[in-house]
Amino acid sequence: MRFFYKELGNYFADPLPEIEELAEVLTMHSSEVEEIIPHGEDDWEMEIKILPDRTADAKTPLGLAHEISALLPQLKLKEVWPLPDQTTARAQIIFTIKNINDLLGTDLSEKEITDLFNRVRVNVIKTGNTEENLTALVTPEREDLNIKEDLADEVARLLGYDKVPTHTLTADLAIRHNPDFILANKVRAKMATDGYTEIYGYTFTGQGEVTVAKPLAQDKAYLRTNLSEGMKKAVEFNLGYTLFDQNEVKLFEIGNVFVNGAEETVVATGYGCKKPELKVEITEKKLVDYEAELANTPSDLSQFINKNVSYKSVSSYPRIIRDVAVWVPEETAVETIVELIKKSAGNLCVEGPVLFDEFSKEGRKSLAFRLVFQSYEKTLSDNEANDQLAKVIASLEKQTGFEVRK
Amino acid sequence: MTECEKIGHLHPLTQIIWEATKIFEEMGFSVAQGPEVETEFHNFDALNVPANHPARAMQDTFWLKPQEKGLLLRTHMTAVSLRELAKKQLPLRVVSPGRVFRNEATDATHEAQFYQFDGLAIDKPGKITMADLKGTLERFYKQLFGQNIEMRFRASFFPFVEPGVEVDIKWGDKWLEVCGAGMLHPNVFKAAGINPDEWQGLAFGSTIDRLAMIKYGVEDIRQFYASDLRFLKQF
Repeated sequence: MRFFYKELGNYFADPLPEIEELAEVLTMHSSEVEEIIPHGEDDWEMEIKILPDRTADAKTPLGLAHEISALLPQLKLKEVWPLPDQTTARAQIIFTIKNINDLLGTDLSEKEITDLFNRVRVNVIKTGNTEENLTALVTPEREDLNIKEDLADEVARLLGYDKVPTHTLTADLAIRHNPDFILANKVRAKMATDGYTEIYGYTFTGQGEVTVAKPLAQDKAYLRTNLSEGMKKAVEFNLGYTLFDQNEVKLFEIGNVFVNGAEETVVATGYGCKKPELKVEITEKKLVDYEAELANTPSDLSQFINKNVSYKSVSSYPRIIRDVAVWVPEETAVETIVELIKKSAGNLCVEGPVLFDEFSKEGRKSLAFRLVFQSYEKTLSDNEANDQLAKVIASLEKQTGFEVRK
Repeated sequence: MTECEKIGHLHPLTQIIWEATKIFEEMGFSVAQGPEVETEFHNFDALNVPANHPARAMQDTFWLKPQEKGLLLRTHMTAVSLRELAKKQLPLRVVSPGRVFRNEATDATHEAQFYQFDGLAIDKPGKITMADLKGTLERFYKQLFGQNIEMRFRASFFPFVEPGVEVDIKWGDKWLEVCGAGMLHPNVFKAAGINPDEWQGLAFGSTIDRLAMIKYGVEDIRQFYASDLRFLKQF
């Protein structure tokens, strides 16, 4: 909904706060101001996402002016609306001060709570002859106030959530162990230990038993009946990006499939290699079938949690692989050479240098490294990769006793 | 000869789920799970979202054929919270991580499938309050993102809670929405067969993919489902 600052100001006898301050108050206590658009010299348009329960009263300029007057009670409206009584109230809600404090974890007095309610033109009267019971008389335009929890919502937001105390739960309730979650984590621990990396595939596929009524695309119109098909594609995809032909691809997935009229959690593994011959092997079995085998495997995943992630996005442009081999004095540390190459290779070098060959001869050793060049902005040309490689070679050859093998 | 990786990598979302469940376990929360194919009752009706409610249209649901059966892919993990509540083993504290689905066009920040966790803590009136919700979530976000992280509650609306709040954390100089939360609505207690005058509690739901994107700086949510080792090996 769009509201104009100046138009809202017309309902008030006092000037409104600055636009940013007004927007902040609305966002924190009422509905979010998503955008402020300047209009001429001294007016602004506010795009406000009026909460769904407040569309009945707060979506007109007059309604929003009433809301602003509740949030900023020091501002006087030109036309003051009276508090409802029992004959004019739209709804009557019986509540106690304890009800409100019990929900919010606050220790507010009857006066503090009544003052807040009066700001939104909710009147509070005693009910019958008990001390505790109060009745909230709700003004006709507030259709969203019907139960005592609605009243607690008004108290919390008008007070401000920063004024609600903070209290942390302690582990004073016994943990109920979840066998499926524990077993899945045992499988994860075993797979990671065996060198398998976890993938999350898509539930939607092009064929299956369960049909989606309005699919995003025809090849996503069914729920998967197995993990194997996705796993095979994932292994083949990743074989296309290995750095060396002798590298293996090892993946696993734990996921739900929809087959034989049931939903079931299954585990798939995928293995792929290119040498000595192209091979892709997939296994799939039910999660429960791992139970006996992994009875004594720990389910603790702490050692597989990486606390030092330094993430770099993956470029979607083609990569270019280059190798460089260099003779160095026998005592030279590999790390020294890796650092030299990294420095001179520049940002286009996205992977490597990876050492893949090493041998010694006549007091010198030969080291061979592989580098991957790739851009985030375009397809690199051979010349661009060669230019980077030339810089690497130049920096290596500057070192005493180094000789790049050509 | 070649650099050979002996240990495999767990998916980044698995890592966040593990960390989240550990943090909540320290506060007495058990882990719950449930089916991805849900009934209309568990996903909507019981959560105070009746058939004509605008929130139902907002949710962009994947309905399954034949539609008369009222089966769908769950749109939030609150459906699992309700299943746990309906077991009536009170007091209760559960956190439910899992895959959810929304029928919307995909782009760098939207996927048709993603992960959420939903939390629920139920006890006698006055025992678990809005103050506990603040404390519980603040502890969670500080442990996940670092002790210096600031968190704030804003007034908001979700059909299954009252009062309802939106939770923001400050990342750099920006406030980011990370969670919808509040005190569980009496109608949800009723749907689960529990008297809301005798019990009350807190509920919260957060998108795990979003937390991972913030924590690691991942720009495109689709990366989580691309099965690309160049991405996965960084975690």
